[in-house]
Amino acid sequence: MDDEEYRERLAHDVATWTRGGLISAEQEGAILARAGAGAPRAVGILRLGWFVTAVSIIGALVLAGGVVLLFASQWDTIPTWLRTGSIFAGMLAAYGAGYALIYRFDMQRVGSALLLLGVLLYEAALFLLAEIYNMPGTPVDSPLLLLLAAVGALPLAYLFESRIVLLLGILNTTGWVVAELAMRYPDSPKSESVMIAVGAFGVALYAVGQLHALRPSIAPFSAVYRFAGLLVLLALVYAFTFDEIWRQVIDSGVKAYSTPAVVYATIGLAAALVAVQTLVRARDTEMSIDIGAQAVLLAVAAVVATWPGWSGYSLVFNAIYFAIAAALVTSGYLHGDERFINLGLAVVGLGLITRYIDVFWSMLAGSAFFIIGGVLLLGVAFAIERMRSGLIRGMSVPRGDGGATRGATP
Amino acid sequence: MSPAKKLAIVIVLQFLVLFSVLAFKQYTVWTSETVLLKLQPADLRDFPRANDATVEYEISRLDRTSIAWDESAGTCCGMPVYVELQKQDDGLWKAIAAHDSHTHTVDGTVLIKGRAQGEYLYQGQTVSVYYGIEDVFVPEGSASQLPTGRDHTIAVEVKVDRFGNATPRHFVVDGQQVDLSRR
Repeated sequence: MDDEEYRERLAHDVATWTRGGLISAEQEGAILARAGAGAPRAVGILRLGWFVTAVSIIGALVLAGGVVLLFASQWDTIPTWLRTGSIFAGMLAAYGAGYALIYRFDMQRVGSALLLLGVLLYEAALFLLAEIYNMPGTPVDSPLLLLLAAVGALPLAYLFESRIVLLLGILNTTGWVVAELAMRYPDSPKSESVMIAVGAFGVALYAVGQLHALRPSIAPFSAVYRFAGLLVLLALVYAFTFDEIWRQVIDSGVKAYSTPAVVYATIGLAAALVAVQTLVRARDTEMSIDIGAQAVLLAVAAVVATWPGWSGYSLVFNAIYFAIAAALVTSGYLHGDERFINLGLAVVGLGLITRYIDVFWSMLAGSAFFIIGGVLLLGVAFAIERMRSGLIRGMSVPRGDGGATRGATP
Repeated sequence: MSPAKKLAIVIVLQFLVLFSVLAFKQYTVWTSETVLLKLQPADLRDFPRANDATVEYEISRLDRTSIAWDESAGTCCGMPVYVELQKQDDGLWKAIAAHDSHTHTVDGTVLIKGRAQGEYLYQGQTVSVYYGIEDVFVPEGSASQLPTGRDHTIAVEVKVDRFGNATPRHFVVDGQQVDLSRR
């Protein structure tokens, strides 16, 4: 993170702390002055950077969507050569303009958004060309197109240090894994249990993120991988908390030891990444717990893949779901990162609401369901808000180890 | 490395991927056998307004008792299966065998690769097979140009390369190619 980016983020964070009553306006000014953020007017300009970034990214997304819609609506009226040429020209124009803005006019944010637009047009081109040349249903089918989209996006992410493009590339890769599994095992007894590979893939993404943190040149990507891995993992674990899925697996008669090799290959890949962490990461308690948790998750995945027919898995995945939520809150607290606390509490809230609906929907009359549910939700919100306030207050108190609070000066 | 070189690498890589996709597709079209596959009787008015129409071919459901089905050929769970097609007198191609590998048992046949989806036990020994050619391009709003009812023979011209990969080209109604246009 460069100095300007750090100061912008600090300016954004301290404004949140001031609004939350954690620090006074004078303390906010002192912190920013200490960090070299300058006068209040300069701070306001710094905060504007976040706004420009957000507007630029949204602009790139909207523009890319508009181009796709234009081609879709004028499908037959545009000659094939013109459609193909326009797509390539659009990509070149976006990259050229992005490059010029970043390196000639020093407009990093809008220029980066145009690079993102170039990648989006490239990805749109893959699918539009498949349509123009009537490719649906060939070996160049949509799952493979998602992988090819990632192949084009990831190099740009690394060469230009773009986290949003990296996230796009990870999204493409995850989509490819899910679509490939769904296409290879459609409507078969193995379908549900095969999806355990997606959970292992989530662990692999998280592990890749931890390994990125070890090299300063790619360390900024660490959070993106870890965040994406956690979301993928949570999505799968959440789906597996429903006992209906496991009843279907049992009813379909799927047998033990029948899971395809690709599932074990994915678990093996993730396990290798976990093993590498034990060799290269600094040894401390947090690292041991983190790696141990990854290993336990992969062990559960291997057990589920081997013996998928057991009705008790929904309980196991409920336990894993809430354990991940607790880990997120704890990690956020220990590292002074409010984002993880909020994500963890949101995960807890979603889990509780889901279980309430799952259990009581058929047991209670409609009015009672909503009245009790409303009261429970208010109670949960009260408890979470109280806990969140306590945690954030705790984060603001300097600790003896002196290293946890972000932005602390030596 | 200068930023310009980095950008050049990215652009070259992305264009390579895009042209590879096009080249692979054109290679498949140029070097492939052309087969005419009959559709299952269906009311084509049900075609969606989108650009793809999902169709079902006669070879989408194969009766294991009426063709030579290898013991080792897959019958379910997405297992690969190579269906051997033979040209009939009416120009349409029909399945005569199913194998687990790219093997011809009769001269002049074409092998199309599919994935067995499972057996319909209530219909005897019928196996459902997915070939990846079930989505055929139909310009938006043009599905009404296709005839409906059972009085017509509706087929799709399909290109099949030497590996068994297939690509749908266009509809053929009563032996005549149909060029659909947007309405």
